[in-house]
Amino acid sequence: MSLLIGGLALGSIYALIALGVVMVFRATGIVNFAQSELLMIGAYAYYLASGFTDSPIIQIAIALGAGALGGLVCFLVTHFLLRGAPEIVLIIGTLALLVFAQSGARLLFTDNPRRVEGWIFHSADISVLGSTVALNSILAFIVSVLSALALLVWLGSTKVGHSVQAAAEDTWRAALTGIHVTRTLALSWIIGGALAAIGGVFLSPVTGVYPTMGGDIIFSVFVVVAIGGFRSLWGALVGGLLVGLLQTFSVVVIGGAFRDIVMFTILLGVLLWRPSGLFRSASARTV
Amino acid sequence: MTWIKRFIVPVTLGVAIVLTFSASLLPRFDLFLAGQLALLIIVTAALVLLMGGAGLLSLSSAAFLGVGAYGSIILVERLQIPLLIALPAIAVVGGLVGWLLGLVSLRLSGFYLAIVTLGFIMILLIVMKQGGELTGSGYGLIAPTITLPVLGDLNAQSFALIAVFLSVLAVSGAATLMRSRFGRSWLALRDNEPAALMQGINVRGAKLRAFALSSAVISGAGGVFAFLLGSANPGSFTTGVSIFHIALVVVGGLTGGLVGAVVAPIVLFLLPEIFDFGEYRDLFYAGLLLAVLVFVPSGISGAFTTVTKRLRLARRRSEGADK
Repeated sequence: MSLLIGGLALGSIYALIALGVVMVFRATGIVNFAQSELLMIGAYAYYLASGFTDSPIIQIAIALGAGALGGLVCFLVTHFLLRGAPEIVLIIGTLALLVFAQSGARLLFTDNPRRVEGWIFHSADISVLGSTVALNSILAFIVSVLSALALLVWLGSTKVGHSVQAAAEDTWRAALTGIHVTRTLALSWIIGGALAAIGGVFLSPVTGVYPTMGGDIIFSVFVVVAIGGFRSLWGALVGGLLVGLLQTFSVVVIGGAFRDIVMFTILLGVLLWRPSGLFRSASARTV
Repeated sequence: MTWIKRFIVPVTLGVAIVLTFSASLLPRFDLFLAGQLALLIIVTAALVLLMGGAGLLSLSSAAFLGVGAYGSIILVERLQIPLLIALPAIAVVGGLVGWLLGLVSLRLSGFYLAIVTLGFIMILLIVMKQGGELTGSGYGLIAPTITLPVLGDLNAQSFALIAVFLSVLAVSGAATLMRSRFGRSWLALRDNEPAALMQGINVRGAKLRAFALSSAVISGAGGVFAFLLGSANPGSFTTGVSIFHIALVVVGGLTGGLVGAVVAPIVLFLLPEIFDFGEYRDLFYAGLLLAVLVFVPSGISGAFTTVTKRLRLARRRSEGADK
C-alpha cells in the first residue's frame, strides 16, 4: 500500500513536469530539456521560502512564482533570442539553459543537498489499510492530479484556455482570429514552469534539494512523454502515474540500479511498437 | 586552394607528421594538454558530421567516449588483445551500438535521437558504476602499460603524440567526407528532408550512417583517451561532458565546416585550462553557447567562410582592376 501511494506520488510529480513538456511542445514545437530544471528552481525557492516563513500559502506561492518566472525566461530565450532557428538549435538552446541553471545553482548553493520539511504536513504519517503512509505522498498525488485536471478543464472550457489551444494548433490562423499569440504562447511556458515548481515542492522533502535534482529525473520525464505521446496532455498524466508505479515497483522487485534500465527498455519498446505514443491524439502524425 | 583537395592524402600525412614532431618538443604537461585537446578535436570533428552535417543531436558522445575507454582497457588487459587491434575493434563496437540506437530512434523526428541517447548515457553510467569487477565500480579501471617491441614502454606522452597524429587524420577525413556524396546527402537532408527524399536520397540510411560513423570515431578516441589518462572512471563520461561536446560543435559552427572543429576546442578547452576558470567554467561555456546560438548561429566555421569568400571576391576584383 505504501509502495502504491509512493509510486503514485512519484508518478504525479513526473506527470506535472511531463504536462509542462507537452504544453510547451504543442505550443512552440520545442522539446524543452530544461523543463525539469524548473522543478529544481521551484524546489530551491521553496527551500528559501520555508527558511523565513511558516505559512504554507506563502511558501508555495513563492515556489510557483519562481517556477513561472523560470518558464518565462525559457520562453523569452527560445522565442525571442532564438526566433525561427531550426529544431536542433532550439533544443541546444534549452540544453544551454539547463547548464546555466545547474551551474548557477551550484555556485549559489554548492553541491550539498539541502534538507527541507514537507509542505503543510511535514513528515506526519497516516495509517491506510494497515500500513503507514507519509501523508505528504497522498497530498502530492492529490494536488498534482487536481492541478493537472484543473489545467485540462481550463484548457477545454474557458476562453483563454481555448485561445492557448488554438495558438498551439496553428499560430498563424490563431493570430487571424485576434488572439494575442505571443502572450498565449508565453502563458503555456509559464504554466509549464508553475507545474514543475509544484513537483519541486513535493520532491524536495524526499530527495533533498540539490543542483542536479532536475537533471536526474529528466530522462524519466521523457519516457513519460514518449509513452503518452508528445501531443497528448491526458497521455502525460496517465503516463506519469504509470511510470511512477513501474519505477517504484521495479526498484523493490529487481533493485534500484535497474530502474533506469527498465525505463530505457520501456522507451525502446514504445518507440518500436507505437512511436507516436500509446495515447494517440487527434492531430495527424508528423514524420 | 584546389591543390590541397587534389593532394589531400600526402598533405594530411605531411601536416600530421610535422604537428606530431613539433608536439614532441613540448614540455611534459603541455604535451599532455595537447593530447587531450587533440582528442577533443577528434570528438568535435565526428560530431560536426552528425550535428552540422546531418542535423541530428546526440547526447551520448561522452557515453561512446566511455565505451571506447572501458572497452579498450578490458580488451587489452583482460583479453590480452594487442592495442593495435583493440582500438579499431572498439571503434567498430561503438559504431554498431550507435547504429542500433539510431535504428530505434530515427524512425520519427530527430529529437527522439536526443532522448534515446540521453537514456543510453544514463544506462552506461549505471553499468560503469555498478559493473563490479568488470568496470571497477565507482573507481574505474587503470590502463595497463603497453610495451612495443622496438620502442619499449609507451607512456602518456606517446599517447598524446598518437592523439595529435590521429586528430589531423580525423579532421582531414571528416572534411573530405563532407565534400563527398555522403556529406552532400547529409547537408541536403539537414536543410530540407522532403526535398532530399525527392532527390532519391535514402534519408534514414544517411542519418544512420552519420550516427554510426560518429559513434565509431568517438569510441576510437575514447580508447586513446583511456591510455592517455592512464585510467577510465565514470566521472569523465557524464551528460555534462556530452553537453560540453555539443557546445564545442555549436561554437565551431553548425555548418558542417571543419575549421570550427579545430578552433572551438582551443577556445573552450585550452582557455579555461590556462586561465583556470575553476567553478565558473560551466557558466562560461553555457554563456558562450547561448551567445553563439543567438549572435553567430553559423559559429566559427561560418565566420571563416564569410571571410574567405570576401577575400576571394576582393582578389578577383583586384585582378579585374589590373586588367
